[in-house]
Amino acid sequence: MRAALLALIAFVPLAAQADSRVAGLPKKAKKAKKAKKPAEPPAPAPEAEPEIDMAPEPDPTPPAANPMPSADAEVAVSVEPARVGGKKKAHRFYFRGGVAHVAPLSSSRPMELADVDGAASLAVQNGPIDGSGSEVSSATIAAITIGYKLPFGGGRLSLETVLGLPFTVKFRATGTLANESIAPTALGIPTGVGPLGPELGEAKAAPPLITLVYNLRPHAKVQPFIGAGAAVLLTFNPKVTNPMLTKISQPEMSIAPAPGLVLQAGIEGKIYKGLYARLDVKFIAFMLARAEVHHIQVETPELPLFGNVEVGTAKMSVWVNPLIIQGGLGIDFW
Amino acid sequence: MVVRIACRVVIAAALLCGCDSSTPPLATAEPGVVFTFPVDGQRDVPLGSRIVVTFSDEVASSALGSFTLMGPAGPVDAMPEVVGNGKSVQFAAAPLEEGATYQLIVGQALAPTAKNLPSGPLVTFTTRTARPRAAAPTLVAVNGGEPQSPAAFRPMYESSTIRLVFSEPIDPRTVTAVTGAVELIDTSTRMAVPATILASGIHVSIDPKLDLRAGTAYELRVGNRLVDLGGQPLTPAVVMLTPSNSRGTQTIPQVLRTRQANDPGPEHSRAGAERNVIAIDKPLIGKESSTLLPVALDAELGDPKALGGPIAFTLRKGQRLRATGLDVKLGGEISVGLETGEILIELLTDAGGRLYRNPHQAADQRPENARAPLYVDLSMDVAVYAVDPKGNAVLTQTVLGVQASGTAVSSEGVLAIEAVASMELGLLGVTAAPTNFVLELITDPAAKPAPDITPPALVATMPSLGANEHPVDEGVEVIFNEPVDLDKLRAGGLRLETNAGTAVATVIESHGAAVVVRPIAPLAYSTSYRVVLSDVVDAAGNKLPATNPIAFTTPRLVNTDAPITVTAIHPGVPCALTGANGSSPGRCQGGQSNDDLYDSFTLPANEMVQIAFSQPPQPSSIVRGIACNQGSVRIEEIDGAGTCIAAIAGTLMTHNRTLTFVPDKPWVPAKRYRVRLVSGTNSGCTAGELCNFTGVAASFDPLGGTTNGEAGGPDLSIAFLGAEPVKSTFLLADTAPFTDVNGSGFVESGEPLADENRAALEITGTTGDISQARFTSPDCLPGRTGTQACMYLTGSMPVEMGEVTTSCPLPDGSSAASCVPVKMSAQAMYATSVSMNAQLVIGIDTDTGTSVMRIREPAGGGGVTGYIVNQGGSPMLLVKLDLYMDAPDMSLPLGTSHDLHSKPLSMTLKGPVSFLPDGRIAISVANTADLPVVVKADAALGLGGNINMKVPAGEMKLQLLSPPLRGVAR
Repeated sequence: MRAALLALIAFVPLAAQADSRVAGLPKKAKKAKKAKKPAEPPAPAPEAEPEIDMAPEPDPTPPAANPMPSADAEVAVSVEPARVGGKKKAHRFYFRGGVAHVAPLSSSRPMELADVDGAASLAVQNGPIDGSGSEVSSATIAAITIGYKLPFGGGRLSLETVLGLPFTVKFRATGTLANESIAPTALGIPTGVGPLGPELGEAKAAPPLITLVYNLRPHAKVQPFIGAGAAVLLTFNPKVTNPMLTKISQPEMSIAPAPGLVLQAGIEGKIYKGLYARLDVKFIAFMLARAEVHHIQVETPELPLFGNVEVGTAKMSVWVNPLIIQGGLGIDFW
Repeated sequence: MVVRIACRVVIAAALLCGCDSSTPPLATAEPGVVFTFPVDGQRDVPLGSRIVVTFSDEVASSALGSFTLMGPAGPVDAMPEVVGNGKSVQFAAAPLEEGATYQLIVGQALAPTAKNLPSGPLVTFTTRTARPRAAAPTLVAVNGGEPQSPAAFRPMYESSTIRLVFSEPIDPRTVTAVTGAVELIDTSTRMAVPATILASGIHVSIDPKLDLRAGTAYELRVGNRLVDLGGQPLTPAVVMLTPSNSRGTQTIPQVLRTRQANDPGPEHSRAGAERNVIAIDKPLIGKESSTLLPVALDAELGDPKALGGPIAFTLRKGQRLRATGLDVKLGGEISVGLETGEILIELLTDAGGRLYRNPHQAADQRPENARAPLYVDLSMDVAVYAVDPKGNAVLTQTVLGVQASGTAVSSEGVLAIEAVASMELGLLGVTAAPTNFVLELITDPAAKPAPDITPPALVATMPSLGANEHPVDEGVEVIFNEPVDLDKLRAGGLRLETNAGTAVATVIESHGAAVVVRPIAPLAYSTSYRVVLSDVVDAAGNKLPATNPIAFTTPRLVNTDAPITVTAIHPGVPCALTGANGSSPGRCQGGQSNDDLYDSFTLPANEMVQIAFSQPPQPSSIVRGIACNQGSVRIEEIDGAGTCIAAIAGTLMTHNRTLTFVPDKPWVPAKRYRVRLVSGTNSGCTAGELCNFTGVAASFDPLGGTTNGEAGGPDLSIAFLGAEPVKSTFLLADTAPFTDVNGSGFVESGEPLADENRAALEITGTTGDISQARFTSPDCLPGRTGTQACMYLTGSMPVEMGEVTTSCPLPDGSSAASCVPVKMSAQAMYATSVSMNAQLVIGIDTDTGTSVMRIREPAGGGGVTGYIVNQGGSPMLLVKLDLYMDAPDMSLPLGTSHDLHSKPLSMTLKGPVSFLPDGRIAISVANTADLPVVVKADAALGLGGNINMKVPAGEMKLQLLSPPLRGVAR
């Protein structure tokens, strides 16, 4: 199986994941509030916008020295006025809903076999299969970005994550794995085990990530930003779908969480009042997805003495390194 | 910085995720029995086979009582033991009866997790019987199955060797590929299929020279030209054989090699025994083992689909296994100076078998190493031989019908086959040792079998070149250093002919690296023969270098009117008895009234009646009685009064000078039997009397005289009790070579003067009225001062070599720390006459005539015990013999009498135990001190005196040889 895994990409399942993921944010938010205290009351808004999302930052520069927001200050539309102590409060959260296309720039190591014992060991050995490979399919899904603007940094910094419905990633075999029998003979005897073909398996995937975003022009109408962070590919319900591998029984498939380093760049701008449009590109690097398929049993039609054999465990390691292109609309809030 | 840290975190996480963890394989088979030996339904299981059952999980050692072997008489008295990593249970040496069916019953308590234990017996098997039978021989098994369904037990394929088992041993002289003997006929052409035929005891193997055709019916015919050792013809049988198609569209070459340490494969033995070790266990040599050495074998696998599952395989003949040598030690302790060097095991026929699914699981259960390993079935016929020439002569033998069973597990890229086999290995030519071995082979395509490029060499022959005493009914043993191509020999590559070039009809038998050229009919006496080796090649085609013919001569047999007598009998003593009482069968008739009374005679259940004669008996006079009081040779069950109850059913095997009787059923302990040889009342030879080769009736009271006038007389009648079987090794050793070929008591012209068996008498003085005495016989020791007259000895000695023991009392009063006791029964030696002249007033010329030296039983009865001890690294026999000496035919003139009647003598004999180049055991002893012999003569008128003689120390020589290892058709 090569392939594996893949999938990475993922977006946090909206329901459950958002909980845990966001669970850490309030603490940061509290910290941010503390940090904001010296800045209160907020400086007068330079524009007639109902809410200014930019909180006075604990900038190195004292607020008094910089009473006016810069021209780069980010302005967000809030759907709900946020007031604190009867005053308007800057919106620190934002969301951008839209579509994300996850395109793995995958490259794989040869599939490795492990726990090969018994009859299978006559045909294959533990270790990589020369010329084999696997890849992960791309996916387009609905996704939203939830962000929190940090109360410091002059409105340039924010933390954000992407929430999305888990999507199905498919693992495909490539190279010799797809086109040639991995066990053509045992003891010189043809086994009848054919090529696997391209289909390997699939899994539901979500790649929760969190990035620290730096807004290059926080108060401009068009705001480019860059970011970096971490992601982890989480999968569930993995299953082998290859007909040859499932003919005897359904093997057990598991995919380990695969961490990655996220690099992000994008641009967004206010298109209508508090409504923002965003185009965001993320690249998750170093995301090595490892999948294992246990108890693979294959039929050996040319070796009726065995009938079928257990191959052992197939291990696939795929550098998923997905490129996530996400576009969407959204507002700032709270 | 953030990026760097993030990278580190990611990489560390990735590494963590990549940690290896092994996943055990699925176990779809049920736990329980995974292997047994023997396999269910196996026949011809050698006695002494290790009986083992292996489970997938550890057994409950506290429940060994539920591991039971049921025999014909109920549970076998044997103690099971847990072996093999706690997963196997075995009977290492269960006392099995020959030809019996056993059931192995395993209770659930022994293997609580087992799911595949049957409610009845787990295994049923039948042991081998090689015992001759009174009934006509029959074909009992073909390829391990019933002749009616020969493929039921072991399927037959194109390359299969056809292996037959008969109900009793077949005379090898009759096993030939001729009509009425053994024929394999292709029914599609009605032509005989050329094949190599090997025979050994109850086994015959037929290896077609070309592989058979699948789907073609072949007719195997065995006919009544095959006879048993008693001469009874076989009940003819026809068996139809149709090889299955095991090859389909392809055969697949494969290489197997013996697994070595660190090779891939399972960690623990499945068979519960040390792997690649040949274990021999026999009291004669103790427990010995030989380890298989690295060797590769070419194998052919059949088409995996052809048989719908099982895969046939073939190991072509000529390939060899190698094993470490043995340093033979009697009792495992006393070296006999015999090291075999490397032992080789060569396939004499195409070996083969199949891989198939574990029979202890459901038929659709796929193979799994732990619970359902593949089964392996391997049948082979092998030559066992050794590198050392003498070791080879002793060891070399052909073993047919070796059935190996085992398991095969796939592991680490190899198929590891662990096969268990058992066979009976001939040992020192005198016994057979249970031999169990575990052969472990692994597949290794990179291994290359070593080619055989060494031509065969001639190692030894029996008779040796120029010998002049080859028994006329023995085959010629030609011992090579490796097995040779029998077909070439049989096609004329080796032939026996007279000096004039007249071919002698023979069969050529395989005996490992040796062959026996066995005349169909006995050779003629006083005739020169030669064995011509013109085309001798080994299995690889290497040719024996040009070798001169082996010329030899048979002894001269001069007609004589002296009656034949018995020189040894087992059980018993070689004389008609008289003076029986309630505790003794009596003493020799014709002896002194105060002679020792013999102790009662017994015969262990596992021994045979054996009789040795002073002359060749007339074959037609040997008639075994099949009812009470019939025949010249009667072996009967008797009651307490000595009345015959019934003749014992069995087989009487006749050889040139010996008779052997094997009962159909072992002697029953405490039951009364009798062996009787009938001599008639006079010297004439009439029906029902045993006579010599010239037609003179036998005499069994030699103390009354050994001349023609004494022929006839009392029968030799030995009553004995059956006894429990013994572990000692029995052999009937003969004095050899010997001089008195015709048993006349005199040395006739042409009879060889055998220095190995003679007593040199020397006159040391006279007393009384005998003024002087001298021998008129030729001086037989011209190199020694004085004149010595030699009495040439003839005789045989039943010998029981016991188990090694400690604190052995030696004749000189000392003791040895360890020894092998050798018990010799009270037999007799016959010495040829010497001539002398004595002056008793007048000159008296006389011949002593035949002298009879009877061994006296020690106080308490039983045989004389000698001891083989280690002296200077060599085995040495020491024995003290007390004798009665008689010269019954010595006649002095004028009414002069002499006292050579039951004259007691005592001497200690000592000498080495060694092996001859042809492999026979030689016990060569001599007296350790001068043996004084004083003859007193009393004449009329009160005249008389003594003639003082002695046998100087070392000049009474006795060489006892074990029977030829291969030359005698057993």
